[in-house]
Amino acid sequence: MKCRIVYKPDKSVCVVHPVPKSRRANESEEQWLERVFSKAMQGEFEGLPYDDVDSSVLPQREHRYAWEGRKGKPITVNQTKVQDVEKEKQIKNEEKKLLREQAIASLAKK
Amino acid sequence: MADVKIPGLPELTTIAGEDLLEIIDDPSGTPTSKKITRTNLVKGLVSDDVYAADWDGVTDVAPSKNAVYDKFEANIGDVYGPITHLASYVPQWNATPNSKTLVEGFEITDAGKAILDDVDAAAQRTTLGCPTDPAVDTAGLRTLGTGAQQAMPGNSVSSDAVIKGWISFNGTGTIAIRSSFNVTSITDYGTGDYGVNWDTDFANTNHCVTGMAGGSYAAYVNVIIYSVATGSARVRTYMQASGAPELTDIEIICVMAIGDQ
Repeated sequence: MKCRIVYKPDKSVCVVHPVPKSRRANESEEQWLERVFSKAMQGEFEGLPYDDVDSSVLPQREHRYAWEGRKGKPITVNQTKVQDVEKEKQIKNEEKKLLREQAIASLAKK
Repeated sequence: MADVKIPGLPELTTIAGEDLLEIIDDPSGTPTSKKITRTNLVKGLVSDDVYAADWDGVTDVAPSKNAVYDKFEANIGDVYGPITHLASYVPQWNATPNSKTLVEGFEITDAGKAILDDVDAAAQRTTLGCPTDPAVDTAGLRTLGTGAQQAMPGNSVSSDAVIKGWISFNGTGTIAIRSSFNVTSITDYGTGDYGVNWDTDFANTNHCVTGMAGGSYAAYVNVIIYSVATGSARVRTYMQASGAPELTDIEIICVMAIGDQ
């Protein structure tokens, strides 16, 4: 299935996925995709660069927040961003663990 | 035979289709004695082409009324049948407005008769139980004849009460749309951040968008309506295991919208 990748100025990307059911009886696939993508480009995406690709080329969604791209280039995963987020998660988990241990300790005293 | 007077002829008690009778052709112009078969004679007596064409001229002297109605039934999908039917029905109704049985074998129900007996559209609305006061409410049903909007009776559906667009999709992995109505596409803005693009736009941004999320999670999940435009709605999905809710891709995301288009 075709999708449209829209490249934002901050290098992040948005992906438009057409809904197959929206294709009208008298439309060719090209006409349908043109209509659907044009509609999705209205507003905040107007004037932004884009590529139409097959959705199978999209990276794994696990690190969706770190997807970056430029027109004509494949989407990449910003590993620095991934490491930053992973580190942040680790810190949060340690904080939670510490808070839990403190709560258990205070309960034990009682 | 020519020398015998008619009272002197032997009597025929049954007549076959090919039996002959004498007939005077063109009596007011150039009278000529001719013969005619019984079949052609009787066929010529039947003036209605609806059934004359099919009738063999032998089975009955004239088709029974039931046979005529059978013919109407057979012609129900054709143009001729219903027109003939109505053409015979309306004058009879006008002539005898309250007769329940217009034609033998054809009966109108009491409900149909009541509508036909009403003098005008207003009376028919009353018979049908339609509201008649346009000032009560501008929403909903348009009544017969006037085109005016009427108050909605209880348990009825108006355009304001119909869901104008909805979608169920999987926000994890490659976004997969399960089913939808009036949705052209989904925009993936990022983790737990999706746009629903409507096929037919809403009239303004005051319409109601709502959503739910779910899946096999040991945590709270929720949908937030992030922004609403006439042609789209942007929703965000959050999961809260402990601490603050975080933007998360969710397995089951349902969004729907109601309002003026």
